[in-house]
Amino acid sequence: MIGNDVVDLKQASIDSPKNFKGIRWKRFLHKIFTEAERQFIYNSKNEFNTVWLLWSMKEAAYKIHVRRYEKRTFNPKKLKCQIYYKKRGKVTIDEHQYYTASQISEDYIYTTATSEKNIKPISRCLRLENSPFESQYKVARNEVLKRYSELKDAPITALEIKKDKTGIPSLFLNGEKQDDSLSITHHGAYCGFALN
Amino acid sequence: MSKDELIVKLKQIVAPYIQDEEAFKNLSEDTDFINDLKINSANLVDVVLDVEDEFDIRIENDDMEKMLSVKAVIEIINEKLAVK
Repeated sequence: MIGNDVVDLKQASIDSPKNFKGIRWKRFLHKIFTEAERQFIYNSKNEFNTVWLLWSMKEAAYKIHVRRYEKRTFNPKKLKCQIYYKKRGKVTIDEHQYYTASQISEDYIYTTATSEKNIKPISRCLRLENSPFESQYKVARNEVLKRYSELKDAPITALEIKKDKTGIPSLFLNGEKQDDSLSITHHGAYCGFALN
Repeated sequence: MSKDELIVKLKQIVAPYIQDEEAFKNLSEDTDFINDLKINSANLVDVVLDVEDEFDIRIENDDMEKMLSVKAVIEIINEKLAVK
C-alpha cells in the first residue's frame, strides 16, 4: 500500500501565519513532534523546511495507516519519524512501519510512503497553474486517469476514481473496483499522486 | 456554556482555516473539519491551539486524537471546563 503528501512551502507559511515565531511556534511543534523529532528540527539548517519534511512523512504514512484500519484519528505525535539519510526515512505507528522517500525543493516537499520496503510506486508531483482550491483535486485526478489509462491500456472514459467514506480514493475500470492502491495529494500550487 | 454559545465561538476560531464556504455557513454539531470544512490537517493544529487559548484549557494529544468534528471538540471543551 502507498500514500503520498505534498507541502507547498509558500502556502504553508500563509496557512499558519501565527505559528512561525516565539511561543506559538514551540507550542505548534510540541503538538506534532516527539522530543527526538524536535531536537532533529532544532539542529537542522532550516527549521521551517525540516518541520514540513517530517510533517509530509507523517501525512504520507498516515494515509496508508488509515486505509489499513479504516479509522481516522488526529495524533501526529504517535507517528514517529526516523531519517536514514538525506531523503529516505521511516515512520512508525505503534508496531507498524512505513518507508518514505522525499523530494525537497525550494518551493515544495513531496513524500511517498509504502507499507513494504521493496514497493516502488509510480508517483508524480506537479505544479498546478492558477487552480482555485475547488479544482485542485480535479486536476490531480485527471493526471492520475491519464497515467492509469496507459498502464491499464484502457480508454480514460472506462476509468473512474471514487472516494469511500474515510476519503480514500479507489480506481475503477468499467465499473469494477481495481486492486491498485492510489493516493492523491494537493496543497497550494502543487499536486501529486502515487499509484501501486 | 451552552452548546449554541460554544458553536458560535468555535465558528470564529475555525473561520481563518476553512476552504469550503458552503459547509462553513451550515456549520453544525455534525460538521467534520476535514471532510466538510476542508481544513488542512496542519491547520487542525492551529484550531487546537486557538481552542486552548480561547477557553484557557490544555488539550493533551489523547484528546486531540478525537478532534475531527465540531461535536468531538465541544465534548472535549466541556470536559476540560468542568474540571477547571
